[in-house]
Amino acid sequence: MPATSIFASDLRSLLGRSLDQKELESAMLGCKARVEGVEGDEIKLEIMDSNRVDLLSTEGIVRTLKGYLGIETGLPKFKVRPSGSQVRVDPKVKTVRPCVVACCAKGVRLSDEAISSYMNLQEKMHTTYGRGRRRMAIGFYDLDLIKPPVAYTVTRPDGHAFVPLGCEEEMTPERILTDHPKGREFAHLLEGFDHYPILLDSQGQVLSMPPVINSNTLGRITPETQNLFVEATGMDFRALSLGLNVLATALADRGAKIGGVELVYGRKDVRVTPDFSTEVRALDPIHCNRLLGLSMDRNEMIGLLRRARLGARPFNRVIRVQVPPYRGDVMHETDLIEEVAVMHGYRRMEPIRPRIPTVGRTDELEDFSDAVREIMVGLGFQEIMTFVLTSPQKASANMRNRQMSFVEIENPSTETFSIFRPDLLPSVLEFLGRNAHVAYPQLVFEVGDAVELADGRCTTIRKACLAWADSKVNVTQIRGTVESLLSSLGCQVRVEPTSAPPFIEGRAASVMLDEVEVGIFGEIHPEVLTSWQIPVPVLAAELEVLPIYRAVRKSSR
Amino acid sequence: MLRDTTRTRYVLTPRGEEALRDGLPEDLLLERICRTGELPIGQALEALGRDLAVIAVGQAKAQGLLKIENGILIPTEQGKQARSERPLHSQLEEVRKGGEPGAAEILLKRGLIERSLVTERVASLTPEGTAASSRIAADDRIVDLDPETLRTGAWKERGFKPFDVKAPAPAARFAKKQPYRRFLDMTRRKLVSMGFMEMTGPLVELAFWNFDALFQAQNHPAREIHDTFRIRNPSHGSLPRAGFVKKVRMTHENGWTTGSTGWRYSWSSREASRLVGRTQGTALSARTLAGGIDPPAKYFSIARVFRPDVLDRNHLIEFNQCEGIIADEGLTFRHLLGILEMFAVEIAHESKYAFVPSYYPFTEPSVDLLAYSEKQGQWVELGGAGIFRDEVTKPLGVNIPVIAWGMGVDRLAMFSLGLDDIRELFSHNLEWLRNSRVVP
Repeated sequence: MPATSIFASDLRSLLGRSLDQKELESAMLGCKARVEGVEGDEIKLEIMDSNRVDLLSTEGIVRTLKGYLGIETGLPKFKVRPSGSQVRVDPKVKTVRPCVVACCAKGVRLSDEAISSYMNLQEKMHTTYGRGRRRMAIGFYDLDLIKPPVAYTVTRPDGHAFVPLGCEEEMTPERILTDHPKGREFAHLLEGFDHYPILLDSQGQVLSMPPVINSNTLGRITPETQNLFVEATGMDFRALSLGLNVLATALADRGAKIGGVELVYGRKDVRVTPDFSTEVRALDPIHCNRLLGLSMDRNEMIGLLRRARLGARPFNRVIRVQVPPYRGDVMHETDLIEEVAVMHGYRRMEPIRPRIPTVGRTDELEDFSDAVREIMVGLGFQEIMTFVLTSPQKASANMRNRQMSFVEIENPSTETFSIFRPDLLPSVLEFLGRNAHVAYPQLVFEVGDAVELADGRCTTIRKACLAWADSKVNVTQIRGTVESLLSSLGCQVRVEPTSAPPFIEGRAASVMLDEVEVGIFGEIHPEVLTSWQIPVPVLAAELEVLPIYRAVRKSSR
Repeated sequence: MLRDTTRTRYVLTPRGEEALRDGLPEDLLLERICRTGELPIGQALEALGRDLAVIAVGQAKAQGLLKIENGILIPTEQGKQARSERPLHSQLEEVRKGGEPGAAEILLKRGLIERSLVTERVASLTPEGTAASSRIAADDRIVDLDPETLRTGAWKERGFKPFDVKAPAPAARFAKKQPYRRFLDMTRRKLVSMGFMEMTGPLVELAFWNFDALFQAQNHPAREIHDTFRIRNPSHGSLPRAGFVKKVRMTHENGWTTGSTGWRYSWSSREASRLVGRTQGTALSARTLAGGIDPPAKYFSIARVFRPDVLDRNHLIEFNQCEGIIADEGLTFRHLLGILEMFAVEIAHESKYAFVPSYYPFTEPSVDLLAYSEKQGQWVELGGAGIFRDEVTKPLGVNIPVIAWGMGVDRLAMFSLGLDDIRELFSHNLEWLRNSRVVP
């Protein structure tokens, strides 16, 4: 869930009243935000709904709070005036970054709080909704310095040089991507293209090179800036349009007059943003009561919807709901029902313990695994629990087995957890290695899952692995243990000599069940012991649980 | 009659025990050097590990066992001799046998042995005692009962010598179930007793079950590389050959007949067939719904899930989720609150709890369960729940309300086991495991 922060002083002045700590926390919960902490003037919030883009802005939170607290309810009204500004879209942007939206905001009064609030909003939108600027990258400019119309076009890597934000000298796009910190951070978004998107005004001045960096000349906002030009570029027009609405309404809430910008995508394809039209949906009070288990009347629901800052009025037998243009999360009637529930208050709803007569049942393989665990503990083996993820070093190199295949993770966060273990033995040996200082004998086991790669398919396999470490051991001990385990389970097996990399040659055996190998046991090879820093000899066995379970079940029927 | 004599006693410290078992650092080093005649310092560091190597070189040099020339360790004659004799090692051996070592001061200084004064009190019989003892000498009461005595019934005449039951006894060695596993077992039993059926499934999962069937759009942030492990080989699996795949696609694209607008994008079956490390146990609920349920139905799973993260005291890269579903005609949001209340009381044993609005991509309305922990003096999140969206249930052929719930079972286990580092759930500490309490 996204985290953000707002200033208490700013909140107070926008809300028109102050809230004490308790009021603040409970009101924020009603607005799907949790107060994570207060430090001086800063209130840290976690937004509990990743689809509520509008709650990334202080203005959006205040708008919602006003409804929750009853200060201002119903659909907030926003107006767009024509601004005469235009963005002409060059078809060449199609392959690299096809869409652009824009608006003007006139008469902005940019207090320090306001600037920091918008910068914070821009940053949060870039990282969350904008998916690290891939889906949406936003730019703010001083409208008075731009000579319209603006062109959204492309440039060559050695083309339009300009002074990027925070710099003093001109740089070509190519140099920005290699030398400028923002350029390096976002270069991957332009990788593989031989031309880059660029925004130019009618005099050829560079506004920005989206999604990387603004111009220092046109794209620097100060408390003196009075009129803004805002644009956003990305891959999907609808997503951009919603994002722009969030920005434009946030600007409007501090008194800016929003101007529409014409976007000329083609001779017959001219669009205007921002689009503040509302979507109309219907809420059936019967559905609402049925889902919530309440018996509210329609007018009560209308009141609650209005507190949630939705437009709501009766229409035939249902409620006609208008969804404000900054909300992209209302997809279904249940989304409106949740608004009603949240505004009504979860704590006002009496819980009902469902009386549903069903028969509980455990999974049979889980039960069988439990039986294995019970027997192993009875045989004196301490149960351990380890991770399924491991590293190639542990799974194969440490086991004298470099020929192994295993399921690899494409994007591991660390090499230590980069593959799914194909068997449990390395995990158990690692455990012994970490306990070399503890008194021997050490008898341990794990029943757990491994993932095997066979015929290009990944299969989750339940395995049991046991190990016996002592200053003196004999293979008959592990054989006796395995046989006791299997005979207690009611399973008849044969044992045949075998060889396997982790075991000493001539001291390993396959456990055969109807001509199929279901396990292996033996004495661990000294090289393997050394890899795991185990100072004593170790006997170990590893068994596949499923085939043993099947055999036992077959014979008991 | 008592007589006290005081003498000095030496015992091995844990470090001494270790040196006796593994060899003294300088002996290990000499052994290594003498094998090749000489050894660069770098290799010694590598062979013994930094800490040990530093001690070993220091000691060996102080004892005149080696010299260092241009960063190469060369044994002295004395060193070569010491290699076979290992003089300090045999002194440790002496201590173990209870003897007094010649080089006690050196061993003490190195913290290998400890010295203590032991007072021995010898009791001898006074003449009166001697007289009494001759009477007791006739005592043939049984010390160890043996089969012979049992068979003949001789014990009836002889009686038993009493033992001092308060005398110290050696600790028994035994094995236990892993404490965290035991907690999960207990949770499982409770859920079964509440009428839930257990679900299980693969650790490597199709994105379809992990995300698409749960109405998480293909550009949903949870699907990005920072939040989901993608499998390299094989990168893709095959989608189920079933009608619901098409319905899921249409629901994503335009809402199908669920009454939703859908996500309004072009759904890719290739992306849905991507293989990922299961990130949420809810994937099992989706599989169960698609497999057909016979309401009323209640299911649960305790599922291992995987998330890219940094391993620290608060985060694991793989952990367990306990969650499930309840499907029945006429279920409401208030029933859902009732379920959560039951979990708070029956499973978490908390009596002060609260419901707060939340968000899950696949449920609406959604709620989180908070409980006030007296132990921690704060509200903690125990779990979350919601009613599955129509966009989840309808494409999978389910047309009744389905409550989905989940519990932070790892956190509950930490409370129960008194742990404050989540990594200890998968403890590598054999002594801790052996000594853990069976009843937390």
